[in-house]
Amino acid sequence: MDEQQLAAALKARDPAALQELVASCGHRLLRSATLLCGNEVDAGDLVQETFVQALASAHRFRGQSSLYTWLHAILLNLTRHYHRDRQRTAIDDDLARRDVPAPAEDFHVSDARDAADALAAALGGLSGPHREVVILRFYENMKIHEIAAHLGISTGTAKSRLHYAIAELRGRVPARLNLFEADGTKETEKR
Amino acid sequence: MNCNRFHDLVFEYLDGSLSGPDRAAAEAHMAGCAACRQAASEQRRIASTLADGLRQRVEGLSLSPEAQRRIRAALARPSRTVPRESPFKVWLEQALWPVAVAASLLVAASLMTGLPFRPATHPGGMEGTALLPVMVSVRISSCDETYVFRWEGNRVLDTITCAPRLVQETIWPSRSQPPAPQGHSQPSTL
Repeated sequence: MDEQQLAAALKARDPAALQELVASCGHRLLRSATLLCGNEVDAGDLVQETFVQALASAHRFRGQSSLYTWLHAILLNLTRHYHRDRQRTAIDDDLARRDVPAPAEDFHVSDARDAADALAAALGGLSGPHREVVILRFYENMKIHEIAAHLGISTGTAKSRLHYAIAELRGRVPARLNLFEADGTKETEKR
Repeated sequence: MNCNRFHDLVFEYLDGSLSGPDRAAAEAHMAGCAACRQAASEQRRIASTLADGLRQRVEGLSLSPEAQRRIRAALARPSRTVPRESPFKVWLEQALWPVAVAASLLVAASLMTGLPFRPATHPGGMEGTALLPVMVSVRISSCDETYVFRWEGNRVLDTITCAPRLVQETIWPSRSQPPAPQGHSQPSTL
């Protein structure tokens, strides 16, 4: 079933098409949601709600983007509500940032996996809009104009957020990791 | 192209989405500017590092069979969570309701008093303002919203159901028959 057939079947609430959609986009959405919200359990709930909302608003899908991109836009919106609700019910953003471990000089890096975890922790310390552009750019592999269209912002704003987010990440990842320096990644992988 | 302009376009340059002339200008600038050449190279390296790091962080994650079952069950459920109406739309609907009623009653009153119409002539040659045997039916449909909150896992979901509501008013004039000719004008009454 191609994208157009899948979209038509989704609008018709065809159970087989829904199953195919979950199978084809669900795993990728889960990974993106995990990066966006920071934990896999809540990411699973967000993905479930994404499909429910997609089904409810299937008539709005115009085919101007891929089904995955459309689903991802719904996921992004839900993630914003998720972060807003968490801030409202639990702690404010300042406290949330305090939960992110500060770069420690004695941080021990055993392999690239630890570097990835440190990067994820640093990502969690970014504000929502900055985290979004990083994930869209470097995980979803979107070009600048695609990020701007996806977020409904100008390309200038997208670039500005990206520059700022990269600078923030560089400051938040422990210097010992040497992630952002020349041949930093290779050094990490060798260890 | 100068360094500031190159810095502004470096992401598009790396994307390969610059137009032909801009791309040529960027490459010409880089050929003569070591700092910008290095900046582009650094952005490439950062992109590669971040892409690898993010991919490693979530690689291997996939929806468990249980999660897929939950999604299928949620999709099969007849009641669904719908996006909340925008506050402006809600306000508009609420504000339009009394306006619609008032406008409908005004039209009904106009029809019954005959104000928009010319005086009618009764058989017998007597002229007067006729009360038209008008029945005005006003049908106004609206929607009663019901909010239902329920627990699902560790979250509270709200379901909004819209039940159609129909208000039908029938307005009769005080006399449904035209007045008997009496030789003088008969004022209209409601």
